[in-house]
Amino acid sequence: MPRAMLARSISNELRAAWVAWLMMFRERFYLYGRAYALDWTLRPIFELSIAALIYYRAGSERIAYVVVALAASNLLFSAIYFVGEILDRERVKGTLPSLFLTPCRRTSWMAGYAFAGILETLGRASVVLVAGMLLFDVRLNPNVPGLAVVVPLFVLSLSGLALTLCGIGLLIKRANALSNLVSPVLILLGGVYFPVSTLPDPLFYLARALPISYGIEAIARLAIDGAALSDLQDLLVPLAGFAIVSPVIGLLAFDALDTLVRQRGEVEIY
Amino acid sequence: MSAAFAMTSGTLRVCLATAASYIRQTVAYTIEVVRWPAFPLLLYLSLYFTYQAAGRETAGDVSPAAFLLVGILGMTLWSSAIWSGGYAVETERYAGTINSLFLSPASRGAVVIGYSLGALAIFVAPTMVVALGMALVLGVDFDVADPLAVVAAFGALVVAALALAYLLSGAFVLTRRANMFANFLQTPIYLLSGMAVPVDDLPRWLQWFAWGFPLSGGMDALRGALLTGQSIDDIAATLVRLLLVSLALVVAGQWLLGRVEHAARNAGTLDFE
Repeated sequence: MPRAMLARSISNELRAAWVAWLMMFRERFYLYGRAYALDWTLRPIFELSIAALIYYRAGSERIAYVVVALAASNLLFSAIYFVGEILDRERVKGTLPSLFLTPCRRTSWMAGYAFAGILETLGRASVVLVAGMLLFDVRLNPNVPGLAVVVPLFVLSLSGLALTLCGIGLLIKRANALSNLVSPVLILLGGVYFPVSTLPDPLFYLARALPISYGIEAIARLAIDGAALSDLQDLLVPLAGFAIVSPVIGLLAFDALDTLVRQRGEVEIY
Repeated sequence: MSAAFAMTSGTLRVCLATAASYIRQTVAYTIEVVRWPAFPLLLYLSLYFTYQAAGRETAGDVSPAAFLLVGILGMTLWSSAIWSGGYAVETERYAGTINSLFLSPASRGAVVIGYSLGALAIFVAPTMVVALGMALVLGVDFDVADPLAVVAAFGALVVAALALAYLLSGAFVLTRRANMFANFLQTPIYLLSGMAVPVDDLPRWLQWFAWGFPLSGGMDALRGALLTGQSIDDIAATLVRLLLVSLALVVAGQWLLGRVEHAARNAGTLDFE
């Protein structure tokens, strides 16, 4: 492909991603309005308060862990509820075939949508951290460069889950029901409310077969104790492995499911 | 007399037909059948392990597993109140059938209650069975001195949930952002009403909410009757208060459904976004 054409093609894809992000941003903030802002800002505080009060009344030092873990778990919820439901949400609105027919790569507009989700997630996570500091007197000593390495690894390791859920949601036409089934399993096994080392052995081994607990524990240790990356090798090596493998598995699964749905001609049906 | 009988019989028929329709729609998707009981049960386990990790041996004077058992029943009824009965009119609006509903001679209240009954059958009942099984596995000690008290407390809890659903059914539609509000309302109630953490654990200024919230009273009564051997006399005052609050909710719900009907008929804007 001539260089000029390649440049134009990349520019088109970036523009598609930008426009998709803008549309999603407008939808969330202008269309849903104040009700969404209420949900966006207050719900994380209530979620935190439930777990934190359980620790607070026991005088447990794990309260700092739960504040950071809940903040980090917003990335997990974004993968499940936001990215995992993108296609089915568009299907319900009746806009999915139009999006499939647009002259750009599907990954471009999906990336734009997902980026809107990540920004929203960072906002929610900030709310949780501030609430933890103000309401439960949690003090953090973050290793910021370490977090700059681990958070993207965590996001990558979740991408496979998000893409697979996206494909399954399109296949079974009930993406939200699927999210509601998957999320409590991953809350339990992801170490969101407690370190997974406190789980009984069978559940602990199941938890360690997933990327979530590695990411959340690494983020917690970096944010609370300011741990050095070199001290977290037991968590970072598996997390890096998931970060490499997960997107590949996710893309393959998504592609297979997407092809299946289109071959069956079920993109629009209920 | 015969007119009253015909009206009652008609209302009952609408109620049962709506419940049957709700059940049929739900079971059409296997994942819906699985996920409704799965969510509260997995949340039960997560909260149970959180209490374990915190090193707490009691919650509200009973073991965390026992405390959470009743809390999970409360959560299940609350979710059911929000997403079935409470969401009934919104579901019709979303499906594009709300105008047909308001053109039919069917009682709107019967439709709302029908949705709630459907959810009780396919959501609440299976969750209760599995939750009780899980409670036994986790070693919950039951202390039942008066079985009638258990039945009365549970019945009052269900009535309170139905009354809440009735209130929410009109309120949600009038907000025009039912999904947002429904999503938002879940977690605060889990916290403030004594479902996930004992009300005594809350700051004092937040404890007043639980006093007025009907499901909290129902859960208190059920915990007393099921876990600490209270008799019907011990919980009678709570039950009476609960029934009075439920009645007030139904009256308020009827008024709100009237407002929805007004929006549908006079303003003609109900099916707009």
